Amino acid sequence: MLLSVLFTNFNDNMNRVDFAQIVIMIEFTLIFLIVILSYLLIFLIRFQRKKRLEYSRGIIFYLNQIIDRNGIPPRLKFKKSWKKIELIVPILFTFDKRFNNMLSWKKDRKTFCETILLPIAKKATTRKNWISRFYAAQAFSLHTDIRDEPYILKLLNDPVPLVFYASLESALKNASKNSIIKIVERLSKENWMTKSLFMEMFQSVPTTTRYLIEDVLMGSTIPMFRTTCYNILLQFKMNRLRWDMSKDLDSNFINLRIAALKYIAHTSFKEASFILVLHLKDKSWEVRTICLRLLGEIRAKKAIEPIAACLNDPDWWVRLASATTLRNFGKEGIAILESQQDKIHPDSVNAAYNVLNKL
Amino acid sequence: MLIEYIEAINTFILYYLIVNSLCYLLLLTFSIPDVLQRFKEYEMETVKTLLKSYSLPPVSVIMPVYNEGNMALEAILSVLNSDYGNTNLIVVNDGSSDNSLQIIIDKFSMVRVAPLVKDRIKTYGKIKGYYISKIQKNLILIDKEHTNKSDSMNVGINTNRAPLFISIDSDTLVEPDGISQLIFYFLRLSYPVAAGGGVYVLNGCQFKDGKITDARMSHKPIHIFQSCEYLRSFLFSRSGWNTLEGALCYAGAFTLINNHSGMFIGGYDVDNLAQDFEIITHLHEYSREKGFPYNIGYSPAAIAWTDVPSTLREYWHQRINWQYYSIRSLLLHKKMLFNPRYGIVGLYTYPFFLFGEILGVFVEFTAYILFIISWILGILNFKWATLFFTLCFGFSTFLTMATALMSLATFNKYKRINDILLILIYSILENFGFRQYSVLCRVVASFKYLWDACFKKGSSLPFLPPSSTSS
Repeated sequence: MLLSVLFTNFNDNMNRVDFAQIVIMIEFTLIFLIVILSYLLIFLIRFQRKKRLEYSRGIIFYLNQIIDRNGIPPRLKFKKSWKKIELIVPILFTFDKRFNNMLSWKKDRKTFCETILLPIAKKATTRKNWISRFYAAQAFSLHTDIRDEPYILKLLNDPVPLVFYASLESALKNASKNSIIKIVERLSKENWMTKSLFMEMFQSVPTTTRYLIEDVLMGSTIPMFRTTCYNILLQFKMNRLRWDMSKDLDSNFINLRIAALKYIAHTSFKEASFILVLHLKDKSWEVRTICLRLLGEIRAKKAIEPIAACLNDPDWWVRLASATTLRNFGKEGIAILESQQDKIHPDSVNAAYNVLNKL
Repeated sequence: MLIEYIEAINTFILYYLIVNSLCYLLLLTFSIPDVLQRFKEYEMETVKTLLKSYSLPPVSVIMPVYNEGNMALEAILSVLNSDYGNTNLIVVNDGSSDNSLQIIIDKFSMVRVAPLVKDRIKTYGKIKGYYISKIQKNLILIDKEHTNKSDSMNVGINTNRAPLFISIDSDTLVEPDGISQLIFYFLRLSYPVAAGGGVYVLNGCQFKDGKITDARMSHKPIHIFQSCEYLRSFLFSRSGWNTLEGALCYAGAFTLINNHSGMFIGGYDVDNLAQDFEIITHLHEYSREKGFPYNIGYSPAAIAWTDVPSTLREYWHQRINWQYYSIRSLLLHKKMLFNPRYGIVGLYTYPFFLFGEILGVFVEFTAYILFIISWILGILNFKWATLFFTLCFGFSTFLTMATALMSLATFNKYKRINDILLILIYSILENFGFRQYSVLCRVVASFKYLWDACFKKGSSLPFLPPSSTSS
C-alpha cells in the first residue's frame, strides 16, 4: 500500500527525482556528520586515557608513601579523582606481586582496603558499567569480611559472566552456606546452551567449601539444585558418599539421574559398575549413553556382556556408545565388534563398522 | 509502453536502493557506539589488566588444515604465540595430499597415540591418526580422511574438552591479543553463545613464525578491493549488528563458540560450505525456539589476518560457494522470515540478509541490464542513471571511506598513510568493474542454486550418501 501511495503521489517524474535527491543528500550528510562526531569522541577517549594515567601515577605514589612511612598514613590525601575502582584494583594486584613477602605491606594493604577501597567497591556494585562491578568483585577477593557478604551475594546474580566469575572467586575464598546456596542457585539457572564456563574454579577451593556444598545437596529437595551440586562436586578429586543416592538415581528429572550416575562413577568404582549396568535399561537414551561411556571410563570389563547387548539398542547414539566402549576395552571388545554378523545383528554391525573404521 | 515498464522498474530499483541504503546507514549509526566502546576498552588496556588479574577459562582452537603447507605452520605458531594462557590447539588434517601433515609432525615433534575422540557429533571422515606433541603440551593433531571443513570442525568439537572453542582457518594468523580480546568480549555478554572477531587481508603483509612483522596493503588490485570489502563488513557492518542482537554470519576464519551450544545444535552442517553462516543462523534459530536467553556478538578489537583469493578465478569460486550456500542456509531456516517468534532476528535481521544481501544482487544486476538496454534504445534517462550510480556506487564508496577513516583513528592496523590512501582510492575504483564482476558471480551462483534445487536431488558432496540432505 505504501508503494502504491508512493507511486501515485510521485507519478510525476520530477517529484520522484527530487525526493531521491533529497534522501541521498541527507544520507551523505549524515555519514559525514557521523565521521566527524566519531573523531571528536575518539579525541575525548584519548584525553581520558591521559587523565587516567595521571591518576594511576597518583595512586602509585600514595601507596609507595604508605610503604615508606611503615604504615603511618601519608600526609598526602587520597584525592577524590583517584577513587576509581578500575584503577585501584589492578595497581593493588601489582603491589601484591612486588611486596608479597613484606609483612608490613599486608597490614598497610588491609588498612588501605578497609578505609578506601571497600567503600568504593560497595558503591560500585550498583553501577551500570560492568567493568566497575567486575573490579568491585575483585576488590572483595582482596580483602573480605562477613559484613561484605550481601554485596558479594548481589554480584553473584550479575548477568555478565566475568563479573559473576570474579564474585565467585571472592565468595569461594571465604565461603559460607549462604554464598554456596547463592552460587548453586545461579549455576542452576544456566541453561544447556550457556552452561557455566567456570566449573574449573571449584578445583582449587578448600575442603571446607566442598563440605558446605555437600550440606547444601543433602538439605535440598529441588532436582535442579541437586544436579548442580553434583556437577560442582565432580570437579573435586576423592569424593565420598555421605548420603543415600537411590532417590536421585531413580529421579524423574533426567539431568539429576545423569549427574548422580556421573558422581557415583567417579566416587565408588565398585558400586558404580553394578548401578551403571542396571541403568543400561533406563527409558532415556541419554542415560543409557552416559552409562555406557562411564562404564568405559571406569574400565568395567566385567560388564562387557551387558555393554555388548546395547549394540542392539533402538537408538543410534546408544549403539555407537556401546561400540566405542567395546573398542576402548581393547582386544576383547574389538573381538566382539568384529564378530557381529550381518544377518544376525544388522544394527550392531553398523555401529561396529562405524567405530572400527575410525581405528 | 516499453518506456513505461522501464520507468516502473527504475522507480522500484530506486526505492529499493533508498531503503537499502537507509538500512546500511542505520547499521553505521549503531556501529559507532560499539566500535568506540571497544576502542575505549582497547585504549584503557582493560583486557591486558584483566589478563593479569585472574585465572582464565580454557579455550580450544580448532584449525582444519587442507593442503596449506607452510602456511598452516605459521597459523599454528600464531595461536601458540597468543597472550591468552589457557589455550589448547586442535589441528585437524583433512586428508591433505601435500606434505602439510609431515611438516607439522616434524616441526612439533608429534608422536602418535591412541585416539581420544568421543563421538558426540556424527562425523564422516575416518580418523587415521591422533598425535600429541613432545614440545608443545597444548597441541593435538588429528589426521583424518578428506571430507570437508565442516566435518573436520566436528571432529575437533568431539575432541574438545574446554567449554569454549574458536574456529580459525589454517591460512589465518591471529594477532597475539586476538584470542584474549575475543574471549573477554564474549565473557562480558550476558548468556554468551558465540562471538566473532575482525578479519583483515593478510596478502601483502610480512610475517615470520606466526607474527605479523609488517602489516601492509598488497599492491595487487584484487587484494585491495577485498580489503575494502572486509573493512566495510567487519569494522562497520558486524559492529552495527551488535545492537540488533547479532548478525547471521561471522567470519569462519575467527569465531568463538560456546562448546555446549555448538554440540546442542549438532555441530557444523557438513553439507554446507558456508558453514560459518549456517552455524550462527542455526544458533539464533535454536535459542529462540527454545526460549533460551542468549547473546551473539562481534568484537572489532579481536583481529586475525587471512589469505584471500589472488586471482579473479579463485575469487569467483569462493564467492560462488558463499552465495550458493548462504541461500541454502537461509532457505533452511526460512521459518524465521517475518516470524515474531524469532524476535528482531526474524523481523529484521533475516529479511535484511535475504532481501538486502542475497536478493539485492538481482536488483543491481537488473539495473545494469536496463541501463544497457535503455542506452541502446536511446531512451536512457540520464538523471535517473545519475541517481542510481550516486546511490549505488557513491553511497558504497562513501561508506568505505568513512569506515577507512574510522579504522585510521581506532584499530589502525595499517600504519602507512599510503595504505589508507590506497583504500580510499580503490573504494572509488572498485565500482568500475570489480563490483560488477562480484554481482555477476553472485547472480550466477543464485541461478545455479535454483537449478540444483529444481533438478538435482541430495548432496553434491562425495562422502555423503546420495540421499543425504541436511536436517
